[in-house]
Amino acid sequence: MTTTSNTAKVLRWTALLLLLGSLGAWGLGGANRGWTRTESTTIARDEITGLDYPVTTRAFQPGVDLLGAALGLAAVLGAVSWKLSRKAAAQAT
Amino acid sequence: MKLVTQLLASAALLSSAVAFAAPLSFDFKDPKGVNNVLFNLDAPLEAISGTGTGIAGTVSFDPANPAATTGRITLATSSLTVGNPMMKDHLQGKMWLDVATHPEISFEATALSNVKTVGDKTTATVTGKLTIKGVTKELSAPVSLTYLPGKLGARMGKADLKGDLLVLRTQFSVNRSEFGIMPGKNTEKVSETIDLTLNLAGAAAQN
Repeated sequence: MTTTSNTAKVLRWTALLLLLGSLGAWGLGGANRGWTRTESTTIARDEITGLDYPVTTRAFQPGVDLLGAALGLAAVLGAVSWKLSRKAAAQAT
Repeated sequence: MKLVTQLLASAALLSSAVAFAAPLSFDFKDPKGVNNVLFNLDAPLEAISGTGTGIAGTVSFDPANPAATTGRITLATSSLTVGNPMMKDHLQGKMWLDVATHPEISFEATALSNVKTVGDKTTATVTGKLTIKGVTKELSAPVSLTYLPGKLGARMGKADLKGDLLVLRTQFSVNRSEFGIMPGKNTEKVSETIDLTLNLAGAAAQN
């Protein structure tokens, strides 16, 4: 197997891992269809006044922006892998 | 004797009415950190929702004459936050709220109208001057004021602390272009209309 072929194989696997990993992380993170968040806000009620107030905690939740970037990178790696595979095949023939 | 008793009773009633009619000054800097402003703007991907908790200011409220209420509430713009860190930087940055140059948003109430009081709750329309990013506009909004006499100690968890609470709630919308916040720009990404909800409690301690 040539170097080109090996590189193509590595890139293909990397792209696949990135695709599956990013989808998995996004899904496990709550499948947030909005922007990535680093804070989570819940609403609590003050007993005496009856006022609703926000309680904010630090919580990372990946959004479609991060997912899109990861899938985009996976697509680029996959495309480069495909190009290299074609080159390797051409060299073999 | 009966006349003297009647005169004394009248004097007592008059003095108590005068004492009760004195307006109280409520401080809205909340040590419990409950006072908050919620804001919401429409956007294509998801609505932009955030909070602001840096509330301060005073309101003068007379339980016997709610229509005479005046006051000024401020919000520290550095306390405004959203869940996405990049969006928060933009929000506080020079193009949007320019927090460095305009550290506070303020509302100065000048008059109450359509005042209706049932028990300790007063609903009215408050008119005043709203200042955002250095631009001041007159604004009217519905407001509810709930007077809670003697509840300050219970709220702060100190039984010996005497004082009253005034709970203020209001909801209204503003147009960001009118206050010079990216006027007419990015309207396809961020709505011009900002919906605001204020949930505030002020305290008037008795010495």
